Amino acid sequence: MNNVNTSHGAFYMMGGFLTFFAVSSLHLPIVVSIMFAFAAAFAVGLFFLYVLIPRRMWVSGDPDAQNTVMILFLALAQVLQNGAFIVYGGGSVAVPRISFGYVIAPGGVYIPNQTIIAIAISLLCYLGLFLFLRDTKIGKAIRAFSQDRELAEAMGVRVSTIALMSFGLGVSLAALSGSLLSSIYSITAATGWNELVIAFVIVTFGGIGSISGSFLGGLVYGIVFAITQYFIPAYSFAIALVLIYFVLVNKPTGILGEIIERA
Amino acid sequence: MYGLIGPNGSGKTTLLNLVTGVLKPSAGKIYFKEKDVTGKPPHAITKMGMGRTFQIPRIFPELTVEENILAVARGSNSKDRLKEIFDLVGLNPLRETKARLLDYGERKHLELARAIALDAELLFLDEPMAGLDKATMGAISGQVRTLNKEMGKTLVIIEHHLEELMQLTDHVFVLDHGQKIEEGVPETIRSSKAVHRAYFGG
Amino acid sequence: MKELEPANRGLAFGNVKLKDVNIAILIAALFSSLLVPLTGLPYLRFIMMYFFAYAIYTASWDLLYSYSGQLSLGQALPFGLGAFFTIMFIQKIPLIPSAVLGTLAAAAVGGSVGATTIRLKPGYQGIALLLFSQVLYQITLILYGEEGLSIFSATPLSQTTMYISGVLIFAVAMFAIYLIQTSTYRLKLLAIKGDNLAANVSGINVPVHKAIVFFLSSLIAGIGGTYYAIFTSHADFTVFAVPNSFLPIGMAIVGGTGFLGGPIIGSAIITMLIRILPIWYSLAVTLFVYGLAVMAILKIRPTGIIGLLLRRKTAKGGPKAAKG
Repeated sequence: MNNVNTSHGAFYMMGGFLTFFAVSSLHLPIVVSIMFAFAAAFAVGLFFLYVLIPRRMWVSGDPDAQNTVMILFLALAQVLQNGAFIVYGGGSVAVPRISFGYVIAPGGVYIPNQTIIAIAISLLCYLGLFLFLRDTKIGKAIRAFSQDRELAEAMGVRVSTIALMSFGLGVSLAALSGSLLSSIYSITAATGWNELVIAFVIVTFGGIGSISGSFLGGLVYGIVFAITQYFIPAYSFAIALVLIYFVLVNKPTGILGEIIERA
Repeated sequence: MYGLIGPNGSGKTTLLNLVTGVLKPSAGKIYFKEKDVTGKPPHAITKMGMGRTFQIPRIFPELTVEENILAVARGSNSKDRLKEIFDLVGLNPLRETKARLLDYGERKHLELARAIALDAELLFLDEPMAGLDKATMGAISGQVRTLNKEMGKTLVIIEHHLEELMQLTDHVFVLDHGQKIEEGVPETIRSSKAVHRAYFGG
Repeated sequence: MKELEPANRGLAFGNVKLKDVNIAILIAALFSSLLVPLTGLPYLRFIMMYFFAYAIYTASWDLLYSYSGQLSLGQALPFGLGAFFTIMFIQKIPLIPSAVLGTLAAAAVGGSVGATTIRLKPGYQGIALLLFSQVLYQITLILYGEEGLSIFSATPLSQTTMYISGVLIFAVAMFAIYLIQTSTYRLKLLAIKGDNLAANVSGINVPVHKAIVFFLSSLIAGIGGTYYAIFTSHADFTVFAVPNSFLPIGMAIVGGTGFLGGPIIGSAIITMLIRILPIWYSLAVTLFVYGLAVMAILKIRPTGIIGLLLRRKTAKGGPKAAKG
């Protein structure tokens, strides 16, 4: 879409809240609730994109349009954030885990089952996304369109539909991660900004447009974060970000970005 | 007044980008006025006395025509000098118009006007006549000639409209696949076998 | 260059009508701010002090956005730094030097941080700045906890002194911005905003000027933050929160970007909104409405209120006249 979604973190937060809503108000089982959150986020994302932003701005190289879209999404994030606050207050939501219990890894480390499930699901998502983009017709259309929009349009790719779908997919994945992690970490109405920043850093570090790049970036960030957390727990967030930021400034295309652009 | 020609992909625009500092060379050096300018940023090279236009005009959309020129003008900025520029390119009636409202031909004139305002000794014009109708082409041609003869600027013109180029220039360079394959006065180029081969193949 | 540029004829309300509107708005704001104490409503005076701080804050964001084309999603950084540095200095040295030093420190740090983002593409630059404001959010939370820093003084400033200094600071800061917006320097900035590459090859030192604008913008934001810290006697980690970065953006959008009058009008309206609405509804509802309002304005009248006012006047000069 040629743009950065400033409300991405808000959708992560929404994931947690939608799941909670499904569990507590709709009384759905947890796994179904997570699917509900995924679908609901997709719908909400689509709705806002369609209503708020004129079609011509959906994909635009024009910096003016890009800036306007970013501001709009930021406003959306405010609305979602405060909306969640109005409904649920400032505390965190208690979302049940899919599976309680722990696994004991070598070295005496306790790893919650939920974490393993989250890891498994993210790996599946990565794989799925990778294959989807590589092999399916729609996936190829998305890749064509991100490389050369005009040419893709000329070849019959329906640009606005693609933009709509990729946006929807993006935010629903954000919500999915929120759903899965809401039972491990506390998610409040104010949550989401850290996640947005982390996601941004990871994606740009790995290279825009490269799924494997994001995967690599995610691993790198996770490891750096864990290490700094051991030595300077309080500042681990800040340090990890700043480190990766400086790598970014020196290589703005990201680690794997360049490779993908030529391929 | 120099010309630079070559088939598409021969590297003319790349050469221009290298010389003006937009691209950094991976090897070799570039000299301007006996100073090494390799790797210098474009604005520094421009300040040394070099200017260029773009094939597709890059205007400052929100500024008026007059402000477009004022934003970059170097050297003396008296009312007279500006009037001179406006008269030359014929944009007087459009002085207060926002640049984004100009049509293609008018933008080409603005590109030229801005390049003149740089007060450069060496000006590169990248396809100044591309995509224009005969009348506008003639106008630009005349303006370019005035730049050279009356304002004493050294010009290097990249063009595909070969006939117009041959008429304007004294000395032409021919590029193909990044190498210089011929140079000389227009007649030499016209009859050169190497040039024919480059353009038409064998 | 002086004899030619019409807009540089100081306060001679010459041929560019739009200047009238902005100066008129500034004067109106100053006038009403002087009238307010006469109404005898202390809460209104308090709201005005917020207005002063926020108007300056918004104008700083707009300068960066409309005049160099750089979108900052982390303007809370220099604002918050102004607040924090000032209060930190006040613990040791008298008020006025603290305020000055605090503002300068905010300008230095904010400008340097901004300068590192210059080569990033537009969208990424904005988020990178958001990143830095988040980093400071975490750091100040760790260093100063939830209470943050406060000013405890044996001889606190009187309300009157704080109010008058607010009016003065507001007037000076706004006028400084006005001067920038009508100077010949603005042509270079707008050229950079219009086309980076063309500006560069035309001899404009793009990286340097982009950095200069960051320092200017951080300086002004720092002034706002400093005043904010002084009249609230307090600074804590929440000043770096993202919603605080959104505040000047929304205010500029509502009032209209690109001209001095926009941030003044926008911050006046929104400050009223967020200081008065919570009396009946909660702050969350107010901010919710605020977000919706910004989205609505962007859809319906993207040039903001000042766009409305300017359509009546000639669409001449200035960065963004009559686009609505």
